[in-house]
Amino acid sequence: MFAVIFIPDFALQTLLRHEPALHASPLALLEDEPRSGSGRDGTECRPYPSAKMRVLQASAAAQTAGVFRGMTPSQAQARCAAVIFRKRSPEQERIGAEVLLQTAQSVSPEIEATGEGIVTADLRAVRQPDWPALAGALVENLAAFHLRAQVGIAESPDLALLVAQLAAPWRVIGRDLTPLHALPAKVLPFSAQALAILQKWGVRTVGEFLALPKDQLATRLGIEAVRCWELAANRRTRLLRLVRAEEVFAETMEFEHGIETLEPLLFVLRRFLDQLALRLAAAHRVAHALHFRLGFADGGGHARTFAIPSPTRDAATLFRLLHTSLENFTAAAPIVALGLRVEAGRAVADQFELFDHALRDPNRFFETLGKLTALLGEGRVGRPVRAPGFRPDALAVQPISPQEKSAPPLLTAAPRIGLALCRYRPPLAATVEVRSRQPVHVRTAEFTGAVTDVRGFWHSSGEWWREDMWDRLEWDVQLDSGALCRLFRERGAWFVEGVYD
Amino acid sequence: MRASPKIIELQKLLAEKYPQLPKAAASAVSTGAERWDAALRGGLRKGAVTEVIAAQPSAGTALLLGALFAESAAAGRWVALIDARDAFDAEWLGEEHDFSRFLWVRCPDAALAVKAADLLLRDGNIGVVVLDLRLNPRAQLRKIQPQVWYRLQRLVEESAAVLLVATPFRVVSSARLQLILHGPWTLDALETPQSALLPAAEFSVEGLPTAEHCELKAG
Repeated sequence: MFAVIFIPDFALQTLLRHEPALHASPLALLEDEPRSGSGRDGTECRPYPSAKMRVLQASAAAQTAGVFRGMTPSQAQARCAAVIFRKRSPEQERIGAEVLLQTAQSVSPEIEATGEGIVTADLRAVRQPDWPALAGALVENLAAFHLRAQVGIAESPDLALLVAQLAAPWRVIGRDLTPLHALPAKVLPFSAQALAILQKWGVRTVGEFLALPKDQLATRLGIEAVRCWELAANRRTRLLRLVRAEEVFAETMEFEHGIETLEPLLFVLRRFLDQLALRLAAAHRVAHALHFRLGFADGGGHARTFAIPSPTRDAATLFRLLHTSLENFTAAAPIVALGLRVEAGRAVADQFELFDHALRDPNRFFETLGKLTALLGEGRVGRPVRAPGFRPDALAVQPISPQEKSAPPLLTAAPRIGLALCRYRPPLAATVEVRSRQPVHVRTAEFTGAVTDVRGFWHSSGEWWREDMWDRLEWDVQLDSGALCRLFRERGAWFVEGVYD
Repeated sequence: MRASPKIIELQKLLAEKYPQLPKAAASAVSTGAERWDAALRGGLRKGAVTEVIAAQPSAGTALLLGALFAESAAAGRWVALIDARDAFDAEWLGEEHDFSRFLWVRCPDAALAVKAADLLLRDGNIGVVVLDLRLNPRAQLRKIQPQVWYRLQRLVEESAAVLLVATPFRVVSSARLQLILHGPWTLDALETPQSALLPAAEFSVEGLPTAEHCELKAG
């Protein structure tokens, strides 16, 4: 058996995937009318896109209002004043075709891209088939992508296509072709001329057409009638031109009006992620990274890659990740294009060590780190690292990366000496009274006190070849309040570096 | 003294209406020093806020924090230090200290530090959260509303994390335990190994459940 998935008005439906609210509206899809003409010297010009556009497809509401294929926009508007025009989007059609192939591949590895919005799947390898359930599942799966599909299942690819075009929304024709016999003959792909002749003969149904002798049909109506006869009699078969659905999980959208606030962008992103999550689930894949791209009205762009700490296809988790990162995003111009591509891979199963206190939810953890960075700024959240050199307080923050692998914990810690220095960053400017080259009184904006005990001084200097070299004298002092402080003197000025605690 | 029947009835009523609150502390996290653990009856309580008060300047809060960080690193446990005045000197922990599960959050003031604590406790991934407010000006600390501390307390209960708040005076109204460090130390302490300083540290603990509390809880 073969299954054909047929998406009527494919170009229109793919465009409406992200605007399902427009399904009930009178909508007309326009495309440039290609024209070919002759130059003045008589040479033929190549076809070029004309400014004149024609209606390619119209929604049910638009058809009811009298808008049909081939009309100019003004003709369509004359028939229906409320008609909404959209331009054909090859990008959306490409994504729609990917969705269609990926859905078909979920039921069979042998699939053919038969035409625009038509995919044929070879189901002969399916064991213990339940054809109605399978056809219904295909229709439901595509409905989740806002694609209204018709599915036909029959013994040959061409018959399955015929059945799909007649299905509402699915139909299965087995060996018994009787249900086809009652259908009007015009469902077969006759030319208008052949159909008129058949009507003159009084042949009105497929059954009546099949009753005619095949060789006599060939003599009178030619090869076209023979093909239709073989199709209706299920005598015609062919090999499929097999294709593989590419594992590309991407969504793009161009906005007619530039977006200036975060909410509409998030709304579209959520819709993208919902759709991508469904596609990932159908392909048994998870997202390892998200490639996010924005296009601006001034021609600029912004691209960013988000690594997923714990690969997932949960749309809510992926959305939170993007939402957190976009909260503080600003752009100089309105957003006119949005693209999101998922780097998909297999799910990874982690086996934690017996005593490993691993993160319970790595995705949430990195989302929280993003929120903290948004709250405090870059370079404020991470783990401390020592910068090269001997400069005092040369600490930096190294961001925690989702890709890094946690090292096993060290079971021994180095012995620590004394109390820790709580640093003032920058050091507190101080006024220090000195007697016999030793500080005896300290006054700062935060505290004041007499020195009761003192150690030092120690000389520290370095990087003499740089402008920001350091050369200072340090003392450890105890004040009458009991506080232990580190003082230093540099370039004639006194500072409190910190308090020991 | 036994609690009055009305209070017991009220407790039962509250327990029926809000069965999830308060959760009993599941267990404790070791501070890394036996003496502290013994004084705290097992260590720092999970699901509770513990306040470490440096009653005097240079009271030796680092003794507790250093032991806790080393213990957590050895256990492979994630620790977050919310540094409310960007004062942390990581070099003191030594070059060999394992920072692979250490998160340093550098905040410019106490208000942002409390917000950071809120985010980390809601996250639920970090087992030990230390909020260091020791060097912040008193005016900043007094501006923190009491309900903020009760909110953090509720978050800690839900996540079963340890929240340790280091302060220069009593600030945390919702603290289940208060560890008061008496110090002060002399300049000699700066050259003494911590292993020698720990036995000499003077401190007291307030808020430990008494036998009567335990009886009420069991009832």
